[in-house]
Amino acid sequence: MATNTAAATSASVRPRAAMGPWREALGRLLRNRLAVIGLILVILAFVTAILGPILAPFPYEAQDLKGVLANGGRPVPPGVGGHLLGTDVLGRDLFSRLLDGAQISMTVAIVVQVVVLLIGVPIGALAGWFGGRWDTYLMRLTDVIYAFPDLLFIILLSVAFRQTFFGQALNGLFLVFFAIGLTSWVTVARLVRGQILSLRETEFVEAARAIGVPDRRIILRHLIPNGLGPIIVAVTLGIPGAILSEATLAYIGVGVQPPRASWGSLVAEGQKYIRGDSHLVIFPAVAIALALISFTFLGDGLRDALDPKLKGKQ
Amino acid sequence: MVAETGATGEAPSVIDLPPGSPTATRALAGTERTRPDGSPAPLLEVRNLSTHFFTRDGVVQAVDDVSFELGYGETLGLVGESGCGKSVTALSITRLVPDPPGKIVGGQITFDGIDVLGLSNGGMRQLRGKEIGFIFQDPLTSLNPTLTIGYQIAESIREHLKLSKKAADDRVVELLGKVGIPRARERLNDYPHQFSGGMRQRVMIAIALSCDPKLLLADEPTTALDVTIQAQILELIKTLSQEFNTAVLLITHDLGIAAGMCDRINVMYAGRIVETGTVDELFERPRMPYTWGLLDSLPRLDDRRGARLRSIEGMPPLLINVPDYCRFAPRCVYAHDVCLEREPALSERAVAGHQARCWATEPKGWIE
Repeated sequence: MATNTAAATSASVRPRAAMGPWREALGRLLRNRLAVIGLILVILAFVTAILGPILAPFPYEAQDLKGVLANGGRPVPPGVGGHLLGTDVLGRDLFSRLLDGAQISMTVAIVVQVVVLLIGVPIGALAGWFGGRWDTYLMRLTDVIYAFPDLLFIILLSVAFRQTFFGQALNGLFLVFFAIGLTSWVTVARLVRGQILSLRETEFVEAARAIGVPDRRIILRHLIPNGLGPIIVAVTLGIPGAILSEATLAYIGVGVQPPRASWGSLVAEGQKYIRGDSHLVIFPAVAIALALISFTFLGDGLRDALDPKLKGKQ
Repeated sequence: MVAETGATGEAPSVIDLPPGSPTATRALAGTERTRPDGSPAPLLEVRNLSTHFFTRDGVVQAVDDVSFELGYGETLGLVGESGCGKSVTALSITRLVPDPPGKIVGGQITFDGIDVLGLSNGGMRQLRGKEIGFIFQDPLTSLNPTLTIGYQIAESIREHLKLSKKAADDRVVELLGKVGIPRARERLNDYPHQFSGGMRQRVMIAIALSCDPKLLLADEPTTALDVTIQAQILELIKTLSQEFNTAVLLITHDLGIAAGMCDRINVMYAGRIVETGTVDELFERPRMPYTWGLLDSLPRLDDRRGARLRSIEGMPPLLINVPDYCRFAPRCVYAHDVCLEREPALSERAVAGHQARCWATEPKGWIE
């Protein structure tokens, strides 16, 4: 039969590789040069953060007082006495401190976004799915959080809980991460709500209901995966904001306590010496900028890769 | 294309069900039920169903006092223009009318002896997909783009029949073969975008039939497909519904489709059934001017080339503040004064089972 041979040939011609939407998105991401650069830098940042203590030439709190004295009591400049990026005024190796700071910044990047997802996704999903009264209450709550000044909220929270166990956890960092997360879930909640609102009207959701799939599974298996693209993008693009928030807080002295340092607090310490020993400001600032740019590149690339409207345009 | 899978060729083994599953014992349960007068009860009995939508502009009476029956294994057509309440009727049967704004405000739906409107939400979920399959209009949007075909067919099977993943997959492969998708096992992990429109509708049919339902609701199953594919899909629905002994409620605006598929046809207009009868009766002796209009508006092979297609003048009424006289009267060329005063009842015509809602064709009417 003609149909039979047609089926046979088409099958032999076409190599069958299951190309899911996710894999296609990955392909698009990898074809985007800036996104790949961003991805590599992000991976590098995480690797540095994890291997920091091993890679660091000195412990972050070790003081090279001899070097400082030899320099007339001023910070050791870059490249002198085995200090790749120099030292601060107390003789602590800046490179080692940057590596340690990477750990803090990358932890911020992850923990804050986890908090954001844990709060934002359920609130957005409940509001979008149930609508009505749920929607009103939950969205007014997000409006309130949104309207409240973030920095003030974080500082208040940090001060209020500083003496509790909660405030002491992770050397005081946990509270900062938590506070930043607590103020930044709003965007994700609104995004998820919008996604669910539009997706719940789609026919495949109606079809799922028509075969008796329970609500919970419809939300988890049908709605969230379809709305995941924008959420991933929002989370990735939210990371620079979180790193910046932490740096801002560290700069004004909230959060990580000496002798540990985050990139933000390094800038804060270094600015006193910006005229004579500008390396103390420049290197941490470059680290922050690089991290922000790489996450932004990656986020932009993800948005292009995951946005179905742009499909096939590359 | 289907030859190697044997979808239509050698009789495929009827899908194995775990012993003791409710569907396996269905034939017994079905025949046991009788009405008080001893006649066999129908599979689906809709009595005085009214579904209204409460909108800002007023109450839309999308379905108003609709009654019909559907026997085991029977195919019933629901025919009418857009917005006459066909789809809402089907959605009401599965209680999938979007609420708000929609609400079933009255009536009774009995499915296989079960009072559908009295069921709990959980009980309703047990019915959907398992006892009542649903085929939607647009296969392009009715499949989830992020899940594999295999998962989406297995979803219903796993939900209702509690099969293991392996057993469910085997059943999915068998179903895909039945609906004529070649090399089914290799296509399990494919995504909807890798299928053509006709293939996707085949997948939808596989999903609808996956738990061997007693009733299949097909809501304009071929409207989104081109004409050749349309014929294949209809043939498939017909073959499989006979093989599975599934009753079909076919919703369509195309009388041609209804004629080829159905045993009986209900013609709906403005939320009401205006004529009902067997296909032969309805096409031979339509007793309602609206049905004439529908039949007349079918394009014919002997039409003069370039001639305009015939249509029924006017528009169906808005279903807010519907008139209390015949709803079709304003568009009806045969209307008399009485048509604009009172609404006729759905009453028997010459042949038993043939009913029409029209003053003109009643025994004392002015049309013979």
